[in-house]
This record gives sequence, structure tokens and C-alpha cells, in this order.
Amino acid sequence: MTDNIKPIEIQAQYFLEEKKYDEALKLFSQAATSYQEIGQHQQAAMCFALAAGCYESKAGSQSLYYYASTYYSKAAKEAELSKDFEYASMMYKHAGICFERDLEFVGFSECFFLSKECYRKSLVSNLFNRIITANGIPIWQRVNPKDIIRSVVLWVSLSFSALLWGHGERPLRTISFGCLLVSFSALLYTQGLFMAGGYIHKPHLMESLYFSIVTITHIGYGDIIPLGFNRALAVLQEFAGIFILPLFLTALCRKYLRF
Amino acid sequence: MKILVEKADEITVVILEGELNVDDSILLRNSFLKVLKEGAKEVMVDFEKVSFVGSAGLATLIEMMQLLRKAGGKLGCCNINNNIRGLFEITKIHKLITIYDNRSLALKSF
Repeated sequence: MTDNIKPIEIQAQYFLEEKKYDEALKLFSQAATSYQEIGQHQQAAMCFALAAGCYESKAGSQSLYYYASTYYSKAAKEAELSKDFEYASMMYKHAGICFERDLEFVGFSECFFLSKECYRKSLVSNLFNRIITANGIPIWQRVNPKDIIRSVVLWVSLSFSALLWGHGERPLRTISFGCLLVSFSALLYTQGLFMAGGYIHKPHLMESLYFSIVTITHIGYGDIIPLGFNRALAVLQEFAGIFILPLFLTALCRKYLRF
Repeated sequence: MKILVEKADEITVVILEGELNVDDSILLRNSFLKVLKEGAKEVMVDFEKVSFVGSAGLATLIEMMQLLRKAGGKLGCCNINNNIRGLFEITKIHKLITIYDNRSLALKSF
């Protein structure tokens, strides 16, 4: 099957050398689709990337970056299917750049997010897929401890970034995270003690919820004073609140001020 | 495709001759894994006598780069003609693999 695709690729590269981008991109796209059909995702990714490059080279002053970014996205998806997350991340990044050049900010936002997610996956894949086989004989690759520490730290920070604000592209995630934190803290407050109006009591859920919201938003009326374990929890919640609100506002502005 | 492996100090030089297509990519992958098994860390691929690199060849190069990096090594390419260099730039592989103009320069600065 690949024998049929080889002449297409050779012809496409010939057109590329001759700077006949229209013909080249059609053939690269055809080759990519053929590779896709037979499940050769790495080769499909390369051909889609070449087709995208043809569009990008052709674009110049014309508004063709949108098509280039579409092909870069396709290349990224194929690279993802072949588990080459690092290349997928790079392709999404270039798709994002082309979307931005075409003032297509929704596409840019999505590609930026996916680029970061693929990079995060590549860190995991680099950590765990260390056994490769040469003619059926496994080779265990030696591990550099520095690389492992760097990968783990990066993965943790990227995962936290994804969860907290979707790498700056998902402001709703920050709201959801905030709501979860408020609810969870409120549940925990019910297990401790509050002092209000001069007497100490075990709070009910609504009072805890009220206190949780007042604390995370830094309003702090002072009508309720947390005691013991609740005091420590309130400090932690307040500390989390310092980051959540600015992150939400930054993500919101970043996303919506582009339009 | 002909694949020749040479040693220059600590650097392993893989000299390719012919076209780098689907079947040749499998050959290259196997040769590379053999080199990796022998404990090579720094590998330079010489493209002087390569006339064509297909998508399979490009994919194999990326795979080689990733495997070497996992092992704490690095991959470089040298003597690449303008057409193949164009392919590397379009597919953004030049951002992942260091490209040198010629072998002597590559061996000096690798």
C-alpha cells in the first residue's frame, strides 16, 4: 500500500522544490489521507505538516493562514494518535500561531490549550516509556535523575495549571475550582467550632457556607471567628483565594478581550 | 539504502546513502537501535549522499531523537542539501534536531 504513496510524495516534493505550492499541498494532503487510512499516523502527521507548510509559504499577504492552521491541527491529531505527543504539541503551537495571524482567536485559544496538554502528556510518556525493543530484544534506557525530577516538577505544575485555569484558556475551570473549594471547606468547617455573638458553637452547613464565601472572597466581616482547626482551615482558604480571583480575571480577560 | 556506521571519538556517525523511504526507514531504525544498544549517546546523521527523504524518514528521525534524548544523548544532522533542509524547516524538525553545515563543523561543535 505504501508503494502507491511513495510516487505521490516524490511528486509533491518536486512541486515543493519548484515552489508550486498549490500542486504540492494537494499531493501532500492526498498522501496524508492515504497514510491515515492505513493507520500510519506518524507519516500522516508529517504529510499534513508539509501541506500546512505549503499553505504557510503560499500565504504571504493572502489570508491563507487559516488553512495552514487547519493542516497543522490535523498533523497534531495524527501525531497524537501515533503517541508522539512532543511533535503534536509543536504542531498545535504552530496551528495556534497561524490562527492568530488570521485573527481567528477561538482556534488560537483551543490550539494553545491542546499544545500545553500534549506537552504534559509527553512528559508522562518520556518518564514511563523507557523500554524499547531492537529486533525483539528489550533495551532498558538509563535514566538521568535530573531529567526525572525536572519532568515530574513540570508535569505537576502543568497539571495544576490545567486543573485551575486550563492554562489560562478556561476561566470557567477557575470558577468551578473556586466553587468546589468553597463547598469542601464549608463541609470541613461543620466539623470544627465557630464563635459568633460571644458564644462558641458547632456551625450548621449554611453558616459554614456563608463563612467559606466570606473568607475566600476576602470580605471578612468579622461576625464569625473560627476556632481551633477551623482557624487553620480559614487561613489556608484565604491563601487559596489570593490566587483564585486574579487567575479567574486574567483568564477571562485573556479569553474575551481578544474579540 | 546503504547505512554505514563510523566512530569519531565519542560521536557515532551514521552515514546514509540513497533514498530514505518507508523500507529504508525500517533499516535505519534497526541500525540506530543497534547503535543505541552499544551505548552510543551522541549520534550524527550524515545526509551528504541522500537524495530523497520521505515522510517515513522524517518520522524515524524524530523517533531517533526522542529515544536518544531519553537516554540522555543527542542527535544531530549534517551535510543536508537545500531541498531536504526545506523539508526539515517546513515540518519544524529543525527545532528538534540540530543541523550542521558539514561533518567537520558538526564534530567540532557537537
